[in-house]
Formats: sequence, C-alpha cells, structure tokens
Amino acid sequence: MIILIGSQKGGCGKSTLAINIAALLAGWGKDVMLVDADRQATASAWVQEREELTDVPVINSVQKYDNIAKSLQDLDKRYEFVVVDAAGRDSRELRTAMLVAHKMIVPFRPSQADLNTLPKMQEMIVAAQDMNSDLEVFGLLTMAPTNPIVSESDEAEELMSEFYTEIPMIDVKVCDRKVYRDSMADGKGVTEMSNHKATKEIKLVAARIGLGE
Amino acid sequence: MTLKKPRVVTQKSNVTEDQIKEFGDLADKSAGEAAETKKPAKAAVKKKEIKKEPRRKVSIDDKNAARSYKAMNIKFNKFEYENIIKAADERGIKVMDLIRSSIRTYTHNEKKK
Repeated sequence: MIILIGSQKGGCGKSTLAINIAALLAGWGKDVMLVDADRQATASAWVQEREELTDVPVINSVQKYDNIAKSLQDLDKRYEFVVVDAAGRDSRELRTAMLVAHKMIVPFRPSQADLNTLPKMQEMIVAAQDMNSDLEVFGLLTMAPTNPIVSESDEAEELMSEFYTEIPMIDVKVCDRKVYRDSMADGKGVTEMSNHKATKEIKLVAARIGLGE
Repeated sequence: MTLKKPRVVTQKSNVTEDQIKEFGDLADKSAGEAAETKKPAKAAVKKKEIKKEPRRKVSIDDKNAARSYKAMNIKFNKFEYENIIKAADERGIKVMDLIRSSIRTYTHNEKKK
C-alpha cells in the first residue's frame, strides 16, 4: 500500500507525519519503506539518525525525485507499506505519486496561508482521482494549538467541511507538541517515546485512514 | 519454515505511463524543480551602505559651535604640547585629563559670557 503525505504548503508537518506513520507501522512489525521525495531530505536525515539506534525497528528509506510513479509501484510489490514524503509544493514528485498512491494525507495548519493553498490542491486531487480511482484522500489538521481557548482549529475544520469537500477531514487533530520535534532529532517516532497524547494522535490518524495492527 | 501472512495485492487503477508523465508535467516548474537541481548562486552579500556625513570642522575659537569632547580633534604645535606636558606633570595628572578639564573649563567660561 502506498501512503502519500503531500501538500502544496511547506512547513505543515508532512515529514513529521510521514516518519511517525512509518515508525508506527514498523512498530507493528510491518514491512515499511519510507520514500523521501523532498529534496530537503528531512525524512532521510531522520532515518540516518535512526540507524544509530539499536532499540527500534529498522526502517528502510530511499530518496526519489522527478517521476517517482514507477519506483513507487515497484516498491509496493516488495514492501507492505510505502510511505511517501513529498515536497511542499506542486512538484512532479507529488503529482506522479498521486497517480499510483492508495491513500493520501493532506496535512495543513489552521492558518490562512495553509488554507489558501487548498483550492489548488483540491483541483489537483480531483484530476488525479479521475485517473487513479483508488486514491483515498484525507485532510488532517496539524500543528493545532493545544490551548483550547484558541479556536483556529475549529474555524479551519468548519471551512474545510464547507468548501473543500474533496478533502474529507479526519476527526483527529495533530497538535503542536515539543515531542514531535524531539523525536525527529532522536531518530524516533513519537510512538517510541513516552508521550501518551502524541502517541494517541498518531494511532488515531492511522486508524482513521484504515491502518491497523 | 514459518509461513508469512499473505500479502494483499491491491487492485490498481489502470493509469498509463503517458498519463503519469502528462500529469507530472503540469507541476509548477516555477516552484523550483530546476532551481533545486542547480544550486542557487550565492547571493552577493551587499555591504550595508552607511552614508557618513562629512564631519564638520569645528574651530576651537567658534563659541557657538556644538561641542563634543569625543569628536573634537585639536592639534597642538610642539611648543604648546610641551607646555601641556609640563603643566600635567606639575599637577600630577595625565595629559589627556588636563586637556579635558581645560576644555571643560574653557567652554563653561565661554557659556557664562
């Protein structure tokens, strides 16, 4: 199964989400390949960090650019799960991956700048789904403020359900927590650390997109 | 030999290679695909141009000129300088301290006038 994490907006937590889903799946004993299609190579750096650890399951990673459709299809035959981290823009990597992926998560922050990128993203999704009818798309609110008084997340969710019907929202929010940044630096997923709230978030995201132990 | 859980092969949509290429070509190239392959040239760091106003020459005899002890540049001839050194030695203070106190006294008196 090819799981694509993609969005046209940078800095919305795509790599963080990709590595955490990969770590969760690896923790469940699944065969995971993490494809880093972002030239910033955040996911690859994380895998390199992880290679030095001995107490966590191994995650293989490969960097692929340009037309990655064929590579993804080939990897899909060899691995149970192929998690793709695409660059935060309208790239060839993102587009070609969309045509072969089974599930796609579109993370976005509850900010106007992120919401403004969604109309074009939605158009792209519709076009991709015309050719790849297997593609299931999920919108995910990331880096949501943990302060319950701040209502940005609710406003963003409302806007999404009203205007962007092609990107159905998952009823889970990934909050802005320090543990996500710490886990990136340590080469671990949050599910491998001791933060229950973040672990719950990632497990719920996985459950909502239909992944299970 | 332990048996592995059979892998579920998902049914793929029949996307052709041409469709993939065509859809991929629609990517926003201005967003930097080419720019990323070629490393952008290092932007020349422009030195911040600080326009310096030409320092106004202030005559020591100009009573109305604004005084700044830090900015003032006074030149003494050899005779004057030797006298100043002598005076400083007599008072047991540094030459600079003598000059400073003299200027202070001078400007104070000038203002009084």
